[in-house]
Amino acid sequence: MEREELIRDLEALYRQGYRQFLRVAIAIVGEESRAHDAVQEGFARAIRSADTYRAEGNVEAWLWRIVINAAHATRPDRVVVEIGDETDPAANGRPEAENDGDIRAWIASLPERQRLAVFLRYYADLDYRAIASVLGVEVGTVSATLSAAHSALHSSLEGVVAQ
Amino acid sequence: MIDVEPLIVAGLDRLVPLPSGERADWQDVLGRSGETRRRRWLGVPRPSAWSRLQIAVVAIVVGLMLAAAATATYIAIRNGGPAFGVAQLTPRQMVTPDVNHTSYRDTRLWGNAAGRLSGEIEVFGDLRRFSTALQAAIQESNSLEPESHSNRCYRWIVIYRNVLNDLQTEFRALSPVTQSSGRANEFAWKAKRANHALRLAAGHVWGACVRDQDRP
Repeated sequence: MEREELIRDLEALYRQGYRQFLRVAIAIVGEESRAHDAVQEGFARAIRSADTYRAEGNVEAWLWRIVINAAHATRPDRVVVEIGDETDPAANGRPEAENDGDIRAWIASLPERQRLAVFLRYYADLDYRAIASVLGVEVGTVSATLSAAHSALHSSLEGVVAQ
Repeated sequence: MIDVEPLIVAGLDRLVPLPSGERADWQDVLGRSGETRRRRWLGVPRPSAWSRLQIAVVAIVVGLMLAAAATATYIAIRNGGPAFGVAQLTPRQMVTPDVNHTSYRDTRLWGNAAGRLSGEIEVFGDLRRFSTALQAAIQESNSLEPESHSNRCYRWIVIYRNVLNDLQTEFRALSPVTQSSGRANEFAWKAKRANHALRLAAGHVWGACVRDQDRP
């Protein structure tokens, strides 16, 4: 693939998918401004690497890897991924607030790869094959990873229901 | 039996709603990548024949002036007088900062950084520490400019950095699963392959950045 052609593809992906990239970056970084910076830097890094991109791969998966790396690079040391505002006063009394707490705790308890797979599945709306390309694993592994993540949440919610 | 999928979708939507796209700025991306500068350079129109003649005349005049200065310096040095102009500069100052002139010492700094970075990867360190080490290496060796894609050395450094980034992602993804499922052999094999890729990239950086006469 020619350099100019690749940059045009990157621009198209940016214009179509900026909000999804930003959303996943927010989930990783925990804050919108730094997440935006990570997305911008990720795409800039992709352009800088355009000469060395090997065409046999999937451009979108390659791009997601770069943006995820950029997001991780901007994350402060030892940060626990926290999404949403746990102390949001507007959440008090809402029936879904309890579930949000469970979901947040579930996300925080997941190993890194399961967490990334969940973000890519639900925030980026990628299918299993695309997630496998991003994570560099087999499709079956993605399926098993997400299934394990679902089971963890299932157990947690059943515990709440049983009480 | 609870179907968790709708709960996940709704819960995740509330935790990180789909953000607005108002901050999207492709020109900013191009600016950060250096692409704007490159396009401006590539977009410079070809000079006319008259302009080319003027450029040639200026180049000849500058060449004659430099030759005169060099001759005067030579004569001054030969007669024991004070040297002036370019002859007063140290050899280091006379070399234009250019990555093609990266010295063996500079590349050794890179090697040190690579060693540190490999260590980081082997212990699954995070990407931030890797980036810090990379920046430190670049600052120590300020002859790594200019960052230009026509520069083979820089291109290989970019590849090297990308290999490291990819490995970071791979290891980050692999370690929890392999450790918990006892797939140690698979992990060991991937680590070995990754280290091989890293060494290969480092070898290319070495080949592209170090002049033959600087090699030990």
